[in-house]
Amino acid sequence: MSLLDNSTPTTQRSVFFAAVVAGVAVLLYLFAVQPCQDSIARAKQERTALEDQKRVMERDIKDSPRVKSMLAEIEKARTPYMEALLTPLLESWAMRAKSLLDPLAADVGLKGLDYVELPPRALPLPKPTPIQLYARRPIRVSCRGSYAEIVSFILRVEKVLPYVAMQSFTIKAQQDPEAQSATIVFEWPAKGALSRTVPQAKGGPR
Amino acid sequence: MIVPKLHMNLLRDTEKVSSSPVRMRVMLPIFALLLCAGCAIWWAILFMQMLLLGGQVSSLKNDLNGKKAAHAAILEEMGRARDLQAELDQLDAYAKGRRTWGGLLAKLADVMPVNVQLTSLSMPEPPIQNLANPANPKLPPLLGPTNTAEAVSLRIMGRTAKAEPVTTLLATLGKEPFFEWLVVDKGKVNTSPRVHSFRQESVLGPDSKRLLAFDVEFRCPERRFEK
Repeated sequence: MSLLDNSTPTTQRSVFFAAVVAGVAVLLYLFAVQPCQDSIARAKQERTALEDQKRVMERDIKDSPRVKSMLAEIEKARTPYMEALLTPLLESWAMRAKSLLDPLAADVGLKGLDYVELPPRALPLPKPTPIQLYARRPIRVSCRGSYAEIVSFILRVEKVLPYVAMQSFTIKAQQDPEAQSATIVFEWPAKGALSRTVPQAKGGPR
Repeated sequence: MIVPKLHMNLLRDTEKVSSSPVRMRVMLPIFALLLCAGCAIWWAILFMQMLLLGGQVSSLKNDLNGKKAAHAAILEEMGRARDLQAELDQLDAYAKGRRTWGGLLAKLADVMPVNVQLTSLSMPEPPIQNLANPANPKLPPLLGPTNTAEAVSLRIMGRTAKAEPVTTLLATLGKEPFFEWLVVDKGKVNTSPRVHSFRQESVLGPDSKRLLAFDVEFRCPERRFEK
């Protein structure tokens, strides 16, 4: 201050003016330049994120025909399985199996057919795990007939129902060779449990 | 001595700080004004840049909003494709694990020696699946087994008058075309065929001879539920 005390009033005014203007410059930097720089940095980040998002969206949209054709191929490959799935008939799996196997058994002359449904067996999980899982649904068929008739029945089932597998069987010899006893467990692919809850469609019922 | 001009030094000591002819009282305000003007210009440039960026961002947002519906649809299709592919993989695994036995049973009848009478022919049921969570059995059971293979075997039980037909039968089953269904393995651990019993029966045969009962088990190729 002693420096200014000895100064002329003009110098004092000049220094004061310079200090005020410098203060304004500092305020401009702090409250205008710096916030602006921050906003620009944020806007640049946002622009980069949006550009990335746009790139991804455009790539996905461009990929749409390939996805559609892939989906069609998968649907086509899945159709035979969907047609072969065992579905319950009036809530009975055994009755559905009966409706499918009775005509084949009648063709070869098997008698005394009896159907019992067994607990389903889970299939190994694929990766990623789908929402709808599939399982093996075994149905035990007991019948009587000659060995040739039983084998003929099995051959027919394997031919007519290409997705039905024989899980186990027992053929026991009886006194009458024309009436051997057979117990065959056939298994079908069938819908199993859901791996997770299905996401509800937007706008759908709540 | 005559001095032509008189020079008077009117400067104070404090004013002798600069060699510059321009005084500090002039320079300081000028520097301060320049600094202020510089800041203002800097801010103006940044502000313009910010406006430009804001415009770009809003234009990008509008563009993205326009594509949102199409993108959501394609994302849904991608998710569906992924899910259906996983379902297909599981069904393919089932199909891979399917084996046919009708051919074996038909061919078995053709190669059965005359002196052999089968009493039972069976393929036992696979053991019950254990889906308990290995980490903690109290947790909910697993949705699927961790093992993808299932052991299969064929058990043949019958009667005969002599031993030869049985050895002939086993030798025949160890050759073509039975390789497709039956495993012949002379290893010590898991031998196939394994003779469970070969003994004389207590009951007499039709010609009052004691019959021999045999019980043989063949290992079959595993059912593999893999893609």
